[in-house]
Amino acid sequence: MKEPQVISFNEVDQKELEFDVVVIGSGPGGGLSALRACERGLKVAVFEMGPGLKTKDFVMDEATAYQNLYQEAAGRTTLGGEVTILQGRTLGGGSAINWTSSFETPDLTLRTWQEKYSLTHLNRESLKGHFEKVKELIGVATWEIPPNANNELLAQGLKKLGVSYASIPRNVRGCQNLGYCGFGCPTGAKQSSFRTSLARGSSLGASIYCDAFVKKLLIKKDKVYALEVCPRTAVLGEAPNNKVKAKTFICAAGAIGTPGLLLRSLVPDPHNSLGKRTFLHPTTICGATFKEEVAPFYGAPQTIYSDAFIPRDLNERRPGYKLEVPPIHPLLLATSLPLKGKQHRELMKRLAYTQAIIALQRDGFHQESPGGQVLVKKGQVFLDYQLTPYMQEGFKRSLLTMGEVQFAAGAEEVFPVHRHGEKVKSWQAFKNQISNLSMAPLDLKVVSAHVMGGCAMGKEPKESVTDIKGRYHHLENLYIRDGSLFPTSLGTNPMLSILALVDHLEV
Amino acid sequence: MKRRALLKGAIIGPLVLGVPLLYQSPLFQNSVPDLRHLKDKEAKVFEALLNAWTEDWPSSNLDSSQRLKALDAVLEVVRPDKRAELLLAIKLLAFAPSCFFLTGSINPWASSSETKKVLDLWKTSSQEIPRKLYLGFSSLFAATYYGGQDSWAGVGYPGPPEVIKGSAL
Ligand SMILES: Cc1cc2nc3c(=O)[nH]c(=O)nc-3n(C[C@H](O)[C@H](O)[C@H](O)COP(=O)(O)OP(=O)(O)OC[C@H]3O[C@@H](n4cnc5c(N)ncnc54)[C@H](O)[C@@H]3O)c2cc1C
Ligand code: SF4
Repeated sequence: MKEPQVISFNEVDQKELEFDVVVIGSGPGGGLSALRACERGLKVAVFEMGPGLKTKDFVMDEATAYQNLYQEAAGRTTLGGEVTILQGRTLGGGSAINWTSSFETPDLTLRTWQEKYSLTHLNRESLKGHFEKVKELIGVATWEIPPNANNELLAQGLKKLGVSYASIPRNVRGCQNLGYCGFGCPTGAKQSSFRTSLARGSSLGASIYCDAFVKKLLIKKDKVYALEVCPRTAVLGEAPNNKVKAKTFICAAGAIGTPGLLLRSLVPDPHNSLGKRTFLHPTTICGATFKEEVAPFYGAPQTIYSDAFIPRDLNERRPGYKLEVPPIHPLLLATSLPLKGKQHRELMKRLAYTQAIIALQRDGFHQESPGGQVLVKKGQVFLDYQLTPYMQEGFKRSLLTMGEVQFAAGAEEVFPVHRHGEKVKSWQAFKNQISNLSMAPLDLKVVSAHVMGGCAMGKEPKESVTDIKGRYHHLENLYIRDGSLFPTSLGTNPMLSILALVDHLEV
Repeated sequence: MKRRALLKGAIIGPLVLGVPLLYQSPLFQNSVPDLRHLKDKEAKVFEALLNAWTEDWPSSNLDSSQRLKALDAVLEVVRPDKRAELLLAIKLLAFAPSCFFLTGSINPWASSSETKKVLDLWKTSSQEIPRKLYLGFSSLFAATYYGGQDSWAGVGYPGPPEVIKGSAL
C-alpha cells in the first residue's frame, strides 16, 4: 500500500478551510474513522500535531526518535513526576512507534463494562466481526519466528515455575525482526495507521495535515462549528490561527490529548466528568543479568506474555498485572535507572547481558484504583494521577513475581528498577530486598505506554462523557474515536481494541 | 513561597529524552557562544552536579562544558512551564539560603566530595523535593551521556543492524 500524501501545516496559506468531516489525531482511532468517512464519500481532513514522517525517514536512532516521534520528547510524566508516560506524536500516533503486540479485549474487561457500566452492546459476539476486519486491515498474525533471548528467558522462567504463557500476535507484514519498532519501523513492515487506514483514506481523497496543532474547538449553541489550528512549531509562541469548518468533528487525539483539547475548548461539562478516570496500566520493571549474551536491543520486541496474574473473576479484589518484556536500548535503560555514579555505570556496562520484564497493572477495576484526572492550566495539559496504597501493594507483588521468574530462568543477578534498588544474586536476597523497599511514588520507577479513558462511553450523561455511540453528550456533532472512550483500562495492550471499537461505532 | 511551586511539578523529568539530539544539531556543533538560560552561578551548580553524578561513567568525546551548552539549548524548546520549573530549581540551588534548605550546606558546589554528599542526601531523603530533584537529574544526566553514539562502545551496544531494502516497502 502506498503511504499517504501529507501536507505540512507550515505551508498552509488559507486562513479558512472547509470539509464535511475533520478528524483530530492520526493514531489508530483517527486513521480508521477518517477511512470510514472517506468510504462514505465525504470530504475528509485529518489534523495531526506531529511531523509527517514516513518509513523512509526512520533512522533507528533512539535520541532522534524520542525527539521527533514522542509527546514531549518522551519525557511526559504525570503532574507530580510519579509516572513516565510514553505516547506517540507523529503521523500514525502511537501506531507508528508501538511494539506491535496485538490483543483482543479480554473477556473479563468486557464483562465489567457490561455489568458495571451498562455497555451491554460491547460483547464478544458483537465485536467479533470488527476484530476480524481490523486484524485483516493491520495484518495481525501469529509470530512464527523464535523469540529473541529477552522474550525467550521470560518463557523459560515461567515454564520452570509452571506458569502459563503464550506467544503474542503482531501486526506486521514482511518483518525483518530488527527490534527497532519503537523508533518507527524502517522497513515498512509494521502496519501502522499511516501504512493502512490513512494510506487508503488518502487514496480516496482525504487531506492529511501534519505539524497541525488543534488549539480548540469553536462552539455555537450545542454544536461545534470550527477548529482553531496553528502550526505545531508556533504553539509555544504567538501563533496565527487558521479556522477549519466542518459539519462533523471527530476527536481522536488520544487519551490525555482528547480530554485536554475538550477542556481547553471549554465544552459544556455539567457533571464535571471530562478527563476523569484516565488510566495508565502503571508498569513496574525488573532487570536481570545473565551469563550468556541477551542482546535485548535486537529482535521483535514483544513476542511472549503471561496473563496468569490477571484476575479471572469479576469480584477479585487484588490488582492484576500482565507480564511482557520491553526492548532495551542504551538511552532507554540509562534514563530508566534512577541511579548515579558507579551503580549506574555497572548496570549499563552489562547492557548486552540484560533482560527485563515489565508488569502492566490493570487500573480502573477497583475503587482504590480510580485513575487520574486530566487538567488544563494556562493552555497546557497535565494528568494528575495518584498511585494509591492499593496499587502499591500490586507493585510489590509484581516485583516479586518478575524476580522469581528471572531467577528461575537462570539470572545471575536481579535488580528492581527502584531508587534504592540493588542487584542481588539469590531469590531469597531479592525477596528480602523487596519486602523492605518502599513502593511509594518517586521511589519505585513506574512507566506507562498505555493511556486510556478520560472520555468514557456510557448511557447516563451523569456517569459518562459520550453516549454509547461515542458522541459527546452535550454537543450534537462531536464524536470521540480513540482510547479515551474506555470506561476502565483494558488489562491488555490497547491498539487492537481501539480499532475494533472504532469500527463498531462507525457502522 | 516560590519553593512551594516545586512541590507541584515533576521538576525536570519532562525534559529528559529529547536532550541528546541537540548534540547532533548544527547549532551545537558550531558551538553555542553563550549560555542563554543558565547564568554564571547557576551554570556552575549544574556543572558540579553533572560531574559528581557521572563520576565513574565511561569517558566520552564531550566535555562537561559542552554538555552544559546542550542542556542550556534544550531549555529553548521545552514546554515553558517545565523550563520555568527547572530554572527555579537551579536558581534555588545557586542561592545560599535556599541551597541550605535543599542541601544542608550554603555552597556544596565548590568541592566534588561535598556535591556527592548532597546527591547521597537526596537519594535517601524521604522528603518530596529532594526526591524529585534526584529523579529529575538522574534521567537528565543519563540522557546527556547515553543519547549519542559516543557512549555505545562503553556499554557494548553494537548499534542498529542492517536493513534489507525492499522487502516490505
Ligand atoms: C512505546 C509504545 C509502545 C506501545 N506498544 C503497544 C503494543 O505493542 N500494542 C498495543 O496494542 N499498544 C501499544 N502501545 C499503545 C498504543 O500505541 C496506543 O494505545 C494507541 O496508539 C492509542 O491510539 P489512539 O488512537 O487512542 O491515540 P494515539 O495513537 O495516541 O494518537 C493520537 C494522535 O493525536 C495527536 N494529537 C494529540 N493532540 C492533538 C492536537 N491538539 N492537535 C492535533 N493532533 C493532536 C497526537 O500527536 C497523536 O499522533 C504502545 C505505545 C507506546 C508509546
Ligand atoms: S521488528 Fe523491525 S522490521 Fe519488524 S516491525 Fe519492528 S522495526 Fe519493523
